[in-house]
Amino acid sequence: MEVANTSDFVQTQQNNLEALASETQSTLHERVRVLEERVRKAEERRRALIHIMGDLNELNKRLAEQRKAMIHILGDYEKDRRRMAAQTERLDNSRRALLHILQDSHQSNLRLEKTRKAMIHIMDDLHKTTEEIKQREKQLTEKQEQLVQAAKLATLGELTTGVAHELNNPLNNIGLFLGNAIDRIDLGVWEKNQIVEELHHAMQQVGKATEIISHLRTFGRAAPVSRELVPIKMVIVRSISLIQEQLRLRQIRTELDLCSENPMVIGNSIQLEQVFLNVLTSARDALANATRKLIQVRCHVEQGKVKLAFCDTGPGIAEGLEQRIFDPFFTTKEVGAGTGLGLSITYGIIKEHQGTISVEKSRPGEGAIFLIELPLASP
Amino acid sequence: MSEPHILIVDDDTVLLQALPAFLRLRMGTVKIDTCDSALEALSQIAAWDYDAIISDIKMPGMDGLSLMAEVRLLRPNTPTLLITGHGEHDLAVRALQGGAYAFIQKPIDRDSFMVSLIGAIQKRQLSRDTERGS
Repeated sequence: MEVANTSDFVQTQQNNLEALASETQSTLHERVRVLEERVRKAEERRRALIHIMGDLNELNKRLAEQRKAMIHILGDYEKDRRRMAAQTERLDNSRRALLHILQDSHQSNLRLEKTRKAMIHIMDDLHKTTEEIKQREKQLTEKQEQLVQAAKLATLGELTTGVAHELNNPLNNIGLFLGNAIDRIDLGVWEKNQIVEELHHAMQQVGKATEIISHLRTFGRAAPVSRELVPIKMVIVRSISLIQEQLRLRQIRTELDLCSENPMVIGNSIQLEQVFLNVLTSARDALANATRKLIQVRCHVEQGKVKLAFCDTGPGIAEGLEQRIFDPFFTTKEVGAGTGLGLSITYGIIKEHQGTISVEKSRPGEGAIFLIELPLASP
Repeated sequence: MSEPHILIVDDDTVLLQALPAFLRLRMGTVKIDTCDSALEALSQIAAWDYDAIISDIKMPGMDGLSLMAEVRLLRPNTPTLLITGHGEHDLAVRALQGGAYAFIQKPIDRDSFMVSLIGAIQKRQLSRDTERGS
């Protein structure tokens, strides 16, 4: 009995074991398959990971390059930034400077405004002053014209003696010629030819007297001072003709050395005649006690100017008086003999004609030389 | 009155034409010389014994007063008539003081001039007669 039982048991145990082993094997197979599946999936993942890793590596490289580029750009940015910072600082400085300038400018503007107001006052004053000056200038011109007229009349006065003599001669001759004609008729000894001849002579003398008077009237006329083209040589000749009788009686010779051209100046012929008469009168008086009595008048054209020289053989101008002789009321003549206005008026007239008058320094033993320069009229 | 011989001195040549014509008309027979300067007149006066000398005062060079002074030395008996401008009284006085027979004012009054001139000529001819008589 026991033995039988043991064998059964063993059998049963064996069966059990076999069943168990089979079960275990199947489980194990299942587990192996699961594991193999897991391994396969893991392998797939590994491969995928390796792939991803490669991509990542590539990406990483690109990123590294980009980083480098970025660093470079950043470097540039940094430079720019510094530059900008410096510029900003400079701009800031400029701004501050501008601010100062603006402040100064504002101050200046304020000052300018004050100045402008002051200027307006001054302008107003100036305007008033200008008006006053214009008024004064007008008065001065009138006075100058009156003075020139007075001086002309004074010159005429001085010329009167000579002129009276000059007029007396033709008047006397007219009287004689007419008297002769009357006598011939009274005495009944007349022939028509003789009477006509006497009357003709008288008429000539009338013409001579008329010429003298008409010249004096033109000279003495108080006409407004006009400006026109003046043939200067003609004015010289007219001036000399007016004083010629006086010069002749004083045995003063005149020599004219006038250029061949006919220089024209813009001016007033009467005023210029006054100038030449004043200078000639001055020369005439200077020759009163001279042993050699000569007045030379020269005229030539040079560098757009007509240059005149009046030379006499008198004692000359004393040293130091070369300028003073043109001062008003300065005279070297005795009291009552001269107004002292002649040469100062001469100076004024020449200046008005944009010319110059000077007296050349006399050398010992030589007379005075008056030099007058006048601009030529433009052609 | 024998034919008078007269000298006229004036720097105005027209007068030297008009005045002799007048004198010839009024006096008929008369001998007249003319000069336009005192210097020329002096040589004429030295050469001729004129009955009268008529001279202008105002002349260039030697004037009528100086000429008259010379005449007084050369021909003390020859009357001189000096011509002055109208109104030149001081010259007229100086002329008379210097021994002029008369002064004549320009413009010349012909009648009074003739009276003076004839008086002068008669005076000269009388004095000449007296000289001859003595």
